[in-house]
Amino acid sequence: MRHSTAKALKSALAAVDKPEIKRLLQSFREGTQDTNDPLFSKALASLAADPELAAWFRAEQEFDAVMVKTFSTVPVDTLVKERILQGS
Amino acid sequence: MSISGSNENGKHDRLTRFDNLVEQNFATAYRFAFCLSLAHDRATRIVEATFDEAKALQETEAKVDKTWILQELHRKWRACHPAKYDTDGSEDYAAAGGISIRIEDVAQMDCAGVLKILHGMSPAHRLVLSLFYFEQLGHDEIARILELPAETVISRLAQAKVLLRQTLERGRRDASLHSESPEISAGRSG
Repeated sequence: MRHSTAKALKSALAAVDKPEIKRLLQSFREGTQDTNDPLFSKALASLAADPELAAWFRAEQEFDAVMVKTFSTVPVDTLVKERILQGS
Repeated sequence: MSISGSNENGKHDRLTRFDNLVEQNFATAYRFAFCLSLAHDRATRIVEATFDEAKALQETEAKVDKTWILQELHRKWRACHPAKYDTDGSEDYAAAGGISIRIEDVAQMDCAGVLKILHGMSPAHRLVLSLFYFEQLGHDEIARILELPAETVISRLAQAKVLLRQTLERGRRDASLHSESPEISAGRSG
């Protein structure tokens, strides 16, 4: 039983090629519904079997974290917020 | 008297709900509007109009949340820019080279530099990136906001991220060339 599950997983992984895995994982967002989305399950599982792919994914996540930090510093005009609140 | 008091309470509750909505979502709305419109005055206009509508909707007890606000901002911007919106971003991708910025270099870049590059991208790519990085949304929520199939969002995100890294690297190389002293540049050319 366990053997057949492993075999099925292996063949399923083989069906998804590396560029496709990368394409999928580029839109993966930790902490959202993506974590439990079957669409990403196979792609995430393949990281354990492929160190090169795992390293690429770590770098991708690191890049995302830097970009999120950079974008969080975009200035917001708080006077507009005050005007909206005063209007209420 | 009791009816009047009840009405007053209802109005107060609606105002409190609206204040909470603004407090919780203003920064998100403003940043997204700025990313759409590329200018603070235009961002201000669509944000104010969207919150006005949100307030009116709340008075009818309709559900108004962050997704609705982002969808409405996007609809307002799209209504004013139908031609621009028709592009799918493939022109960006076709122009991209093979270079890609290293993580050490991207960490050195400031927000203004990154925004400038983002603003040079097509709306199709800029929108998915802004929702992914500003709002940290998953692909399914981005798809709901932009009213696109999830598969389209996944493909655009993958393209846009590759393109962003390539464009950041080109920008970094250009900046380092310009920051070289005239003597070095002259020495190289001579």
